[in-house]
Amino acid sequence: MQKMISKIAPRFPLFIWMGFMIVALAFIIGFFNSQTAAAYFSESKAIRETTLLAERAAVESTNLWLPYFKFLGLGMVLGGIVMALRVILDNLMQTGGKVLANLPADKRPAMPNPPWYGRLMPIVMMLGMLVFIIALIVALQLASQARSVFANPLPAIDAAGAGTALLAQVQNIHATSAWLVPFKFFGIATEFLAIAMGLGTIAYVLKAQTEMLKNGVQMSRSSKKQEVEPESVSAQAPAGETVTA
Amino acid sequence: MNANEKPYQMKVFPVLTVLGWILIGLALIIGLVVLTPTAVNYFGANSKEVRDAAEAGSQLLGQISLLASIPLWLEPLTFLGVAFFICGIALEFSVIPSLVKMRGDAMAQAFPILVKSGK
Repeated sequence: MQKMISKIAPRFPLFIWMGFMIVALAFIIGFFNSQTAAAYFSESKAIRETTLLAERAAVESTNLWLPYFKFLGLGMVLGGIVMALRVILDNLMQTGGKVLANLPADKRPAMPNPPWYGRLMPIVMMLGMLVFIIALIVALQLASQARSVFANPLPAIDAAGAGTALLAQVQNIHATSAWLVPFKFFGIATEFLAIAMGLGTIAYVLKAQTEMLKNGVQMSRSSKKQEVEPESVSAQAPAGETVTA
Repeated sequence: MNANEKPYQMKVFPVLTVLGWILIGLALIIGLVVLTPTAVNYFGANSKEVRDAAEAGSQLLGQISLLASIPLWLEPLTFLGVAFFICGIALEFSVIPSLVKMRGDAMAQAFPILVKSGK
C-alpha cells in the first residue's frame, strides 16, 4: 500500500488544483445564490411567502449543501499538501539510501525506519477526505429535503403540526445540521493531523540522517587515527620488537 | 542545537495537536449529544404556532435559547481547535531551518574527509 501511495503522491499539484477549482466554483455558485436571494427579498412578504416558492427553495437548499462542497475543496487542497510532504519524505529517504549505497556493505549503517506516524499519514489524509465526502452526501440529502419543504408556502410550513411529514422534514434538517457543522471541522482536524504527522516525520528523518552523517565523520576520523597511530608507534619502536595494539 | 536533544518545538507540537483534537472532538460531541436531541424535541413535536406561543420559563423557550446560544460559542471553539493545529504545524516548520543548518554543519565536517579520501 505504501508503494502505491508513493506512486500517487507526485500527482499532488492535480489534487491541489482540483480543490482550488471546487472552492472557486463554490464562490461562483454562492454569488448566483446571493442574486436569487436579493431578487427574492426585493418582493413584499406576502408575495415572497405565497408565490416565490422556487426561489426560496433554491436559496435554502443551496445554503445547506454549498458549505460542505467548499470544505471538500479545502480538504483536497490540504490533502494535496499532505501528498507533497510525502513526496519530500520519499525523496529524503531515497537520497539517504543512495548516499549509504556508496559505503561498503560491511560498514553500511542501517537506514532508520520512518516513525509509525509517518506510515499512518496518508491513511489519516484519506480518512479526512472520507469525512468531507460523507458530509457532502448528507448535506445534498438535506438540500433535497429542504427543496421539498420549501415547495410549500411558508404559512403551510408554519402550520404543520406534530406528527406531520412536513414537520418531520424540518426537524430532520435542524437536527442533522446540528452535528454536521462540527463534523466538517472534524474532517479539517483530520487533514491538519496528517500534515502535522508529515512534518514531524520530515523533522525526524532530517535529524536521523544528520546524526548518521556525524557518526560517519567520527568513524572516519577514529579509523584514520588508528591507521596513523600504529605507524608512528612502529616508527619509534626499535627493530625486532613487536607492537601490540 | 545538539543533535541528540529534542528541540522544544518538537515537544510542544504534539500537545497543541492533542488540544486541537480535544476541542474539535468536544464540539462534535456537543453537536451530537446536546444540539441534535434538542433540535429533534423542539422542532419535531411542536408546530410553529406552539413554539411561538411559548411562555418565559417554559421548556420550549429553554430549548430554543439553547439552540440559539450554543452555536455562538461552539463555532469559535472549533476555530480555536483549528488554530491549535495551525500553531503546532507552524512550530514544526520553525524547527526545519535549524535541522537543515545542523545538516549543513555535518556536511561541512564531512566534505574535507570526502575530498581527502578522493585523493
